Amino acid sequence: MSDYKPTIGIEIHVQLATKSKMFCTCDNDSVTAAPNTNICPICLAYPGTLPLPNAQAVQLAIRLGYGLNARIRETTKFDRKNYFYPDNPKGYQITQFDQPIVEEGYVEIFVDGEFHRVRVERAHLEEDAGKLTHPAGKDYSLVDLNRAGTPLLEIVSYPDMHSPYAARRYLEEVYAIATTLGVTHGDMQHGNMKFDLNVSVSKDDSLGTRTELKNLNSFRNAERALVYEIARQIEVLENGGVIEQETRGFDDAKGKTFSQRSKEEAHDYRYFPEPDIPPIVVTEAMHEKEADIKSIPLPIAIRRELVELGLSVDEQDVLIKQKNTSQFFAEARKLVGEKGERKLVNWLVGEYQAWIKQQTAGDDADSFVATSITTPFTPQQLADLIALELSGDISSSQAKQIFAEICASSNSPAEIMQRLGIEQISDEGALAEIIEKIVAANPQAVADYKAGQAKALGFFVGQVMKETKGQANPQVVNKLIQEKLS
Amino acid sequence: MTIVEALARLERGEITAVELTQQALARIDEVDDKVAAVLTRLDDRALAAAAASDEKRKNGEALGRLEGIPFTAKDMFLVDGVRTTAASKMLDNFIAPFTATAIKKLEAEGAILIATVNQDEYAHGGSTEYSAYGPSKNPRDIGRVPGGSSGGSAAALAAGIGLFSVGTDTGGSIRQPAAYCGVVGVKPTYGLISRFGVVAMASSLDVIGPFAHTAEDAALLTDIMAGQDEMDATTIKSEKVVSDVVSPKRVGVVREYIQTLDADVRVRYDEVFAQLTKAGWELEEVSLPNLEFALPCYYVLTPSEISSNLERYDGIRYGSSTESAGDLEAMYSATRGKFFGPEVKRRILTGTYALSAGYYDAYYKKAMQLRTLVCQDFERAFSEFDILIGPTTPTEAFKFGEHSADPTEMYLADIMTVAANLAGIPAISLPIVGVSDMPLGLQIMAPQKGEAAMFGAARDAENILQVQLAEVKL
Repeated sequence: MSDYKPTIGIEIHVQLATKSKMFCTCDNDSVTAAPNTNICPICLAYPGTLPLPNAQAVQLAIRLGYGLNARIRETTKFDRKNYFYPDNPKGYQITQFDQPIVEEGYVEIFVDGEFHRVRVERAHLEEDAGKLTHPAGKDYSLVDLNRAGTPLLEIVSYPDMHSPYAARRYLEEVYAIATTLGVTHGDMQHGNMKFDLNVSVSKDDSLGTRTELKNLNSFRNAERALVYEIARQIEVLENGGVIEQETRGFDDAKGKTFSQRSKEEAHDYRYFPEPDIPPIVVTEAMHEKEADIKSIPLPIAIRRELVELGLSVDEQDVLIKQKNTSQFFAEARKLVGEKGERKLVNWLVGEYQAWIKQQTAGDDADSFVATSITTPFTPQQLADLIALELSGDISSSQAKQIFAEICASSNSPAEIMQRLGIEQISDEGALAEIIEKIVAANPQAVADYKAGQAKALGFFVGQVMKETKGQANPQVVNKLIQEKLS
Repeated sequence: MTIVEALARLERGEITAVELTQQALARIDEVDDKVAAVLTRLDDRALAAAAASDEKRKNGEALGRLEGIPFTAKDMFLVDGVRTTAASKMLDNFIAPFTATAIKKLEAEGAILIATVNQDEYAHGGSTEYSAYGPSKNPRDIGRVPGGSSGGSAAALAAGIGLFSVGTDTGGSIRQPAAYCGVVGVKPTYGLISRFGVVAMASSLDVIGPFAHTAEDAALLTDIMAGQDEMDATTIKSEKVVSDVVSPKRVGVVREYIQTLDADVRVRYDEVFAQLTKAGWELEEVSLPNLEFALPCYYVLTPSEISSNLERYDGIRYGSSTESAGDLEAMYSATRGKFFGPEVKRRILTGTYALSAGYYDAYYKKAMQLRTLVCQDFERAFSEFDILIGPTTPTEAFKFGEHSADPTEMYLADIMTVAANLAGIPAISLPIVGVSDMPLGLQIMAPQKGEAAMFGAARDAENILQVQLAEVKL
C-alpha cells in the first residue's frame, strides 16, 4: 500500500480586501449585513448595467503576484464563464481565462527539515457568486446576493505536492503571504480563503486519474480530506477498481469525502472574451504602487531566520502564521539581544498562546485568530520582563505572575512588581536570619543533609521560600544554606 | 420641422415647449393606429417637463441645447420609473430603476421624452416584425416594414411623432430603418456614446445613435450624447463632433457594395455620384475584398454575445417568470421558453452552439480573425480616403412577410451595414430618392473617431443633393 505516491495540485480562492465589489461600488464587507441589502443594479445584473473593473483589486493582484515570486502580465483581460445558477445573476461569471494577471511563480514550503518549491501556474481575478440556502422541509431555495461580485484571486498551483502535510504547508504559506501583504483580511470563518484540491495516486511517475475535492475552507480539513481521499483511492485501486474523474465534497463530521459530480456532468462553460471590459494594461505606475513590499519581510524570509535560530517547526509556525506575533517578534528581538532570544520565543509560543486561547475559546483550532487580536503588551514591556529574568532579580514563577498581569493591565513590569509587592530578597543579612531559625527548628533535616542526602537542601530552600512568600533570591538562599550547614 | 428650426421658433416665442409637446402627442393620437410606432406614452411626464422648460425660458434661466424639443426613444433605453420592455414579453412588467446615460444627457439639455417606441425583440431583426407587441409600419407605405431593429424610432420620426429619436445599432439597426423611412440615422464610433442603461444586444458591436431630419441635427445630438462615462468601461475620450466638421477631399466608393446592386437601384446611386462629382467631389472606386466575410462573421459573433448577454433573463430577480414548474432546470426552461420570441431563441441557440467546446475554434475564433481582416481593409482604405460612400441597403423597404419564410434572407438586408459595426467606425445614412416613391439611403463611413469628417461630408452632400422625398400621407 505504501508504495503509492500521491500527487496534489491546489486552487486557492483568496477574497481580496478591497473597499468595494469587483465590478460595482457596493461595499465589499457583508459580514453583518442582512441578506440582499448590499446589492445594486450592477451586481443584480439588471438590464443595461455594465461591469466597472475595480482598480484596487487589480493592484492587490499585482501585490500578491510579487509575494508569489510571479510574473505580472503587461496586458491582461477578462473573460466570461457561462452557466445558469440562481447564485450567478448575469448567467456568467467574469473571470480570466487565457491571460491571467499573474503567471508562473512559486511558493517555498518547509517540509521534513527542508525547503521545497511549489510552482504556481497562474493567479487570476474573478468575482464570487451569491449564497444559496435551502430551508429544511420547504419546496424553495433562498438566494442572498450580498456576496455576488466579491473580488477573488484564484491561485492555481502545479501538482507539486506529494503529501497531505505538504499541501497544508502550502495552504498555510500562501495564507501567510496574502495576510502579510494585506491582500486579504484572512478571515477563514467567513470564507476569505477556500480551496479546491486535485489529488491522484500512482505507483510510478505517471499521474493517476484525479479527483477534485471542492470548497474546503480550513487548513485542518484540507489535510483531513486529503488523508481520507488518498486512502480511498488506494483502496479502490488495490481492490482492482478504477478511479472516476469526479468532483467530491468533504463531510467534516464524518471525516469522509463523497461524490458530487462526474466528468460527464461537467459544464461546458463557453468561455469567450468579456466584451464589456477593454484589456487592462499594467503600467509602470501600477508596479511602483507596490514598491513598498520589498521592505516587508515575507513569511519565508522569517522562516529561514527561525530555522537558523534552531526553532522547531511548531515554534516557527506560531511566529510566522500570526501576523501580529510575527511583527512583535521582529521588534522585540532587537530589544532583548541574542541572550534573550530563546526566552522571547518561549514567552510567545508558550504563555502568550495560552492567553490567546483563553481569549478566543471555541474558535476553530486552525483559524488564524491572532490576526484580529492586538497584542496586549509592547515589545519593550516583554523585553523588560526578560531582562529581569536574565538578571536573576525575579524567579520564573514571579515572571509568569507578572506576565499574566501585563496581559490583563498593560502596565509595565516594574509597576506590576511594585503593586504586587514582588521584589526579590537578595539581602544576605535578612535571609541569614530566616535560615538560622529554620535550621534550628529542623534538626532531623540537618542530620539528613550531613549524612549526604542532597534533597534535604531542597527542603531548606523550600522552607525559606515559603517564609518569604517566594520573594527570596533562590541562588542567594542556596549559597547561604550550604555555608550554614558545612 | 428640424430641431434647429424648432429651437429658433421657441427662441422667437412663436411656440412653447408645451405646445410642441402637445403637437407631438396629438400626432400619436392622429397616426399611430396606422404606424404602430409607440409602445409606452409618457404624456404626464413629458408635459410636466415641457411646462418646466417654458418656465425656465420665461424666467431667463440658462437653457439647454435641446431646450423644449420632444423626442422618442427605442424601448432599449432605461428611464427611471418607466416601463422598459426591449419589445420582449420577458420584460413586459419591468420598470427601470435608473436612467440611461444617453437619455440623461439629452434631458439635461432640455429635451423632452414623449414616448418609448417599437423595435424587434431585444433588437434582433430588421423589420420590427419580431416585436412581441406587433410590427410597426413604414409611414411612407404602411404595406412595407419600417426596417429594424430601431424601426419604431424611424417610423415615429418620419410620421412626425417627435423631432428626433434615439436608437441602437449593432449591425445596421439605426441606418437601415433610417434609409427605409427616409430620415437621417447615425451609428457613431464604438464607445463614443455610453451604453450604460441600454439593454445589451451584442456588447462589442452595440452603439447608441440618433435619428433626425438633417445631418446638422444629427451632429448636434451625437455631440450631446458623446463622452466618456465611468459607468461604461468601453467609452472613449472624444473631441467635439459638431463644431469643426470638415469637407471631404478624397472620397472612396465601395466597389463591393455597388457592384451587387440591382440595375434600377444602381441607377439611383450613379445619379447621386454624378451630382457629387459635378459639385467637385473626387470620387474613386475602392475595393475592400474582405467585406464578403463581414455578414457571416457578424452572424457568428452577435449570436455568441447575445447567448451570453441574455442569460440574465432567468425570471428570478426581475421581469417575467412562470409559476414554479418543478426543479431549477424546469423553471429556467419554462420561463425562457415562454417569454422569449422565435428570433431571440434562434440567436441564443446559434450563439450557444458557436461558443461550445469543440466548435469555438471553427466559429467564434474564426469569426474574430475575419473581424480583424475587415478592420484591416478599412484601415487600408482610410489611408487613401477621408470617407467611404455607398448604399445603406441593397433595396428599398421590403413588404411585410417578404422575408419571414427564411430568416437568413432578412439577414441579407444587413449586408452593407454590419462591416462598420465590426470595425467600430462611424457611419451615417442620408435619405436619397429611390426607385419608387420609397427612399433609399446614402451611407457615409469615416475612420474611428472621424465624426467631424463624416458629418462634414453629410452636410455637404445634403446641400449638393437637395433631396426632395415624396410627402408622408397618413
